[in-house]
Amino acid sequence: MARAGADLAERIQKALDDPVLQKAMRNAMATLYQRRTAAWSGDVDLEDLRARARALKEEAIARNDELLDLLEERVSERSGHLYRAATAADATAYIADLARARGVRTVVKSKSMTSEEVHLNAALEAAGVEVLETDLGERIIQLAGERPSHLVVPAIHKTKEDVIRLFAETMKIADPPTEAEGLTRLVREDLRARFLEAEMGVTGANFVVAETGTLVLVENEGNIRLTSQLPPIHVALVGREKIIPRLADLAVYLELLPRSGTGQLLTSYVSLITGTPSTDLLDFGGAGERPREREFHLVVLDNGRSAAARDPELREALYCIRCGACLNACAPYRLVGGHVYGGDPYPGGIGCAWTYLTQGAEEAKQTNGLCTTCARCTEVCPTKVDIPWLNTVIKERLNRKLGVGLRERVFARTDLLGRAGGALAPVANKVGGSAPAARALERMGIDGGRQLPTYARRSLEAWFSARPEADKAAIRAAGPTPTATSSAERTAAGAPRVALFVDCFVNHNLPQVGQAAVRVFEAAGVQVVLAHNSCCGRPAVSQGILGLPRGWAVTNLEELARLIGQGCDVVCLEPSCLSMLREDYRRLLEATDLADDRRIDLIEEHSYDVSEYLLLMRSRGALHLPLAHLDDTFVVHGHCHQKSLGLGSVPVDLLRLIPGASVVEVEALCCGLVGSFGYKKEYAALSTAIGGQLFEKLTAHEGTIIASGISCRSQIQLGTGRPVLHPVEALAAALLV
Amino acid sequence: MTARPPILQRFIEAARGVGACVETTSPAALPEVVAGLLPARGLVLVAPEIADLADSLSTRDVEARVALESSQAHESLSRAFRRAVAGVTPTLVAVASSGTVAVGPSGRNGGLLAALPPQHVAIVHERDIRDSLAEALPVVVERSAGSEGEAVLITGPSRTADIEMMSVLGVHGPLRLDIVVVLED
Repeated sequence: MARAGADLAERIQKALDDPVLQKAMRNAMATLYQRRTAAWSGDVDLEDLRARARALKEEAIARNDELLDLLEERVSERSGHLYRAATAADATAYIADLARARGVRTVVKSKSMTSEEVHLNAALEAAGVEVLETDLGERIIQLAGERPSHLVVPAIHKTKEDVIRLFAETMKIADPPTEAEGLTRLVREDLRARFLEAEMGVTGANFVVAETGTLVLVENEGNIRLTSQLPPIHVALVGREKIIPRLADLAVYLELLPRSGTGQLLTSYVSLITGTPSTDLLDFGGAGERPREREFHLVVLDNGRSAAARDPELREALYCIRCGACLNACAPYRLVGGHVYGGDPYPGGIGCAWTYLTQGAEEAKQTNGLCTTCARCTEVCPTKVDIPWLNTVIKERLNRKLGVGLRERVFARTDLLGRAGGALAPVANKVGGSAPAARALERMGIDGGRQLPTYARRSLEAWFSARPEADKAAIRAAGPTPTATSSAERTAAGAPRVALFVDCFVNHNLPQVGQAAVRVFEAAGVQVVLAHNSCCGRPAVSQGILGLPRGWAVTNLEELARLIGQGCDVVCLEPSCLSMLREDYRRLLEATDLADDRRIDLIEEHSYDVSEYLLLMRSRGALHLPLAHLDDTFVVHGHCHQKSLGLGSVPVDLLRLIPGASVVEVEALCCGLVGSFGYKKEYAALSTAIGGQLFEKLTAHEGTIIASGISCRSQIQLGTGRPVLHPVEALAAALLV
Repeated sequence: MTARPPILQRFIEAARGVGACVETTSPAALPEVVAGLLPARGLVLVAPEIADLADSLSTRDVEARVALESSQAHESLSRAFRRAVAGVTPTLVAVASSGTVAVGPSGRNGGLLAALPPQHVAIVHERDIRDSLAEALPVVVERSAGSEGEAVLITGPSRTADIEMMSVLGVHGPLRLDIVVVLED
């Protein structure tokens, strides 16, 4: 374990230190991300389409066996051949044997991740067949002897200069073109002749329609069209998860895939291929005799997929339509690229799940820790694949197989650390910052350069219960009340009541954030109680430890449902806690007796982010805060989990309530710390580099930096040397009472 | 809600937005307009369903030929494809929201005409323009039913951004896409 960690740390450092990679990735990633954002609009309701795409994939995978049978019928009706390949070796053997039997000398090939998965090129070359990748990016990769580093843009890690050098060497050109256009034209001319002489074309497919036997191929270059239409033999290699029931469903996917992948409304070409080509078989007089008969072979690959379809926790990896949007939103991927954060061949967080399913746990272990579970990918996934949860489940399975490290067990117990640290605060803070402590932590795999959190002498709970005005008895005595609407909506009937979810870090490290929230709510006439909750479970879940947090979730369901029953809404100060309550409790409990417990719905409906809740009160006309005029500027960093919950704008909107204040939101991804991620030795440099991009943007502005997350706060304070406030602290500071 | 521009206008804007060149014409002036879009010299291949357009083009000094293997032609279709400078095809349907045209498998070699030569001229009838992809797809299916082969939705010329995300037109497909919309009389 430690050995693999050290290797990974080295590879991460090498990627971070590689100026060419950094330049290539920085430009390309920002462009792709922005294009997708810009394309996320139009006459259609894209969020509704995402929900439909998800439901359609769920149906398609549930009916996968039956659809495969139907597809086989349809393909053979059209005189095509369908071959079921159980393993990668079966698939490559079938295709290589076919090539040998037909005397194929040259295969033209379009981009296909599935062919990378089975190492088709190597198998064909071993059979004495020349294979030519025809997608520009894939051709670059092939000439360089590398593997793709991105699902959609395979050579994204290369700069134009790399390509010029590569073409000069491999194509033996003394004076290669220096612009992208000339380089592209060179490949067009070089490959055009090869298209005309190839005996076999191999493609993948984006979707395969069972009811008609139609292959659907989405592309921009036109190479897939030539690959499938020109050679006498067309072989399509597809994973069995690509089968969809109906042609009518295609519109949903075609609205989503290009927008998500490249920010296009539609790619230049979408081919719907049914049976063999109707076009004349052209003969361009190549080197030898070409087969005179058209043939179509559809190779449907299993290689772990049907086992995945039976695995309720990992099944949704099969819903991936390989648009790559998740990669473009992934902070670690954007910095190190798919050769470090990727398996063979699937890159990024979704790639780790695919590696696990197609190759096994050992291979998946390499990259599993690189998913910070920030969830920015789930925001953009067109089929709403919960990639962080897939990685969490894999982490738990790896833990079960390999054992849980001491470091991971420590990070899982922020609740205990908080209680112990708080009790011993002055000593703990001193020891935590000492050189021997740093050495001890290094031995555990914790980065010695990190400042450990400092503990407050009086916790939020201790402060709250010592307040004379606290009216705890009243809320306890109040019997259960109907809770059809949120408390904020019932303000006309009486003062709303809020139960603050007590998170471990606010309670023990930053009680001032909780105190600020209490002040703001009370100034607005809202009665506040503290929930007697357990840890939300986020820190443990992040370590792939799911047993303990399941227990805490049960306690919290009980306590929060009780409070909601008494007319309270639950308000979280830390968005990472909220995302547990609102999204991940369902996942955590789905394999238990509590899977259908209606308290999960109740808590999802009645839990709020503090900024969200105050804005909701305001929209109901129920928020009247006496606020001072401030000439301050607030520079806001958006919290990843807040964004993944669709609440990205709430801190900004809340701060705009302060008269005179100007609010700037910086466009950035993650802060890089993400709970314990940045504390782990092997990821420390990456965490700092991710943070660096954010710090640059934040420090471009004067003013008070705002962050809703407790770990964002410590990362930004360390990186910028400037103080950071929670939005509710800024609001409390503006209160006139 | 503001009034939506007429469907034709939206189609033209969207198609130009993705790099296609768009002209409109009356049915009578179609050969004239197509001839004006073609290079001064070089072979133009025309889809068999619109063979009469090939004749009209020939009378306008265009070297035009129907894309079928034929004993009357002095060269094989393969050789003709090799030197063709443009392919002219009819379309099944067009999509206003994305500027897309669909070429079907029914007329033989339409797909190759829209893939191999450096220029593709697509003829769209105004009545065949639909609002959205969701409305156009069933038409593609219906109009290519019973024919094997490739139906293709075409949105702008062939393109790539594989080198540093720089957009380049004309990778393996046509460098230039012309769409001629035939207006209703």
